Amino acid sequence: MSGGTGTQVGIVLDNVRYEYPNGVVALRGVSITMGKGETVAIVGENGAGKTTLAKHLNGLLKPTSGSVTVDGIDTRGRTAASLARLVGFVFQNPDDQLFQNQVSREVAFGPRNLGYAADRVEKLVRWAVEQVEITDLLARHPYDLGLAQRKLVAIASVVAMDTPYIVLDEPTTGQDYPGTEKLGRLVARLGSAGKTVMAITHDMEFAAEHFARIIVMAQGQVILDGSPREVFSHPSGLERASVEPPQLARLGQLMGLGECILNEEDLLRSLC
Amino acid sequence: MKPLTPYVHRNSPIHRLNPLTKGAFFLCVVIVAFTAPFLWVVLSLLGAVVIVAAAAKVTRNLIALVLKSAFLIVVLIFIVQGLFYPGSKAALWTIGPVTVWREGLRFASFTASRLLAIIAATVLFMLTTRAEDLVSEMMAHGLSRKLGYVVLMSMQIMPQMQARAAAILDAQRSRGLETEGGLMKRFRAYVPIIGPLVVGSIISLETRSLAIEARGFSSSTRRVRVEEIHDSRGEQMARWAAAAAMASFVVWRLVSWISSLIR
Repeated sequence: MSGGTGTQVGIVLDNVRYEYPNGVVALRGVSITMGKGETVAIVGENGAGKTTLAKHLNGLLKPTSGSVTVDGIDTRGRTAASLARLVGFVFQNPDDQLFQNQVSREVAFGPRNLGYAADRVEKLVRWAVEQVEITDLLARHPYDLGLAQRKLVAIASVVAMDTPYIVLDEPTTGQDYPGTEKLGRLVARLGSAGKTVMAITHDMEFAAEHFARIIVMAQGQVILDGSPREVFSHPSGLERASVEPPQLARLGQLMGLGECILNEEDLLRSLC
Repeated sequence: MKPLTPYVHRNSPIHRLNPLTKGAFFLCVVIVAFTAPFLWVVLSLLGAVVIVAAAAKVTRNLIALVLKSAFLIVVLIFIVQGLFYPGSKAALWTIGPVTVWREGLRFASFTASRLLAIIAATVLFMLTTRAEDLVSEMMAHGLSRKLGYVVLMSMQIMPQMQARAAAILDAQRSRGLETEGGLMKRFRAYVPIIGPLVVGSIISLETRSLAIEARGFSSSTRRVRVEEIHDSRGEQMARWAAAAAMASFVVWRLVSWISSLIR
């Protein structure tokens, strides 16, 4: 079921266990392999360990036991800032990172930190805002924008770092439908550019529609791991993780349609 | 989030006392320890604090916290006063160029005891009294509502800001900001971390003021309290007695100080 086989090294988590200093065990032996160009949604209820897992990917947290390697580099002994060249990480709250007085400067901050030349920074900024579809916001002050748009700015400011891996922590929270669609297109573009995108999300429609692989977590463990179709045909596992499948999948199940219904086409096909 | 005060919950008669009563006795100990002319007075205050701590079942926390906050400064007092007390005559012992003076050690033990008594009383007060209860009780006795809010808010906001600062640090490090290393690197890391912290605080301040206003913060009706804090006639009298004792003690110390000047 794991989608990591056959691709390049990528990110490898091997039996990762993480215990917070206050004794809470957030990860209990997680093993995942994520290859180049994969798009992975991580779902599960609050407290399942999703964000803790994500923070291991760029070295913000180091496993208590087990190991995390990014393109063969062990994250232990590397600072998050040095791993930022490989793994971009967008936090849930954009206000934790926005500090410049202009969107263009904000987006340029990351690539500048990586020491790229001025003309490359400029190119990356342009490319990033195009990917996130916020070119019209370049000259604005980040705090004059609404929360949803600030979130897009924060995402662009990490996309601009041109890392092979990008982690998005709840990107769709607060986005309206066009915003969510923008993010879906972003995931597709990044994936086809060979980048690995991991998104933590509670939005199952978003996960089912835009990601090739879904990892379901509960109580610090991976419960299900596979394509949306595979994952959403395991109601018992989903229930254990307190995850509700997309509406159409539930409908399909209620109607007793054999295959897992993810979208309108699926439904039409199995009804006709 | 780690709370700012070291309050530990125990089911003890000391914990059940009215915060104001504890506050009054705490002030008594501080003033007496600070001005008492005899070492035995200070030492018995220290003893009393430990006994009360035992009654409140927080002796271990008290000792740990007092040692943590006072150990270094007590050692320094002994070193500095023991070696350099002005006008020392009686050498206790001499090792090479270093001479330890008897007067210095006596002064040091007196000063250190005062300090320990004051710190121990402060720690005990904080261990057994919730800040919210203290401020709420003070507001019930006429402390301005706004001042009370400011005091409570600033205590609650500190751990929140620490948590946010940690989140911001993580977010910026993930964007390649080096926060470890030389002075210049650290200095450059300052703006990207302080910026979001300040802006975020202003935003949340605004939201918070709207939220509490929506719940009638500046309404002028008489308030009732969610949690009635225990108080009794006996405690009230004890507080007045403590205040009176404190006042007469201060007067006595002032008088004896002035008369020593005149003489």
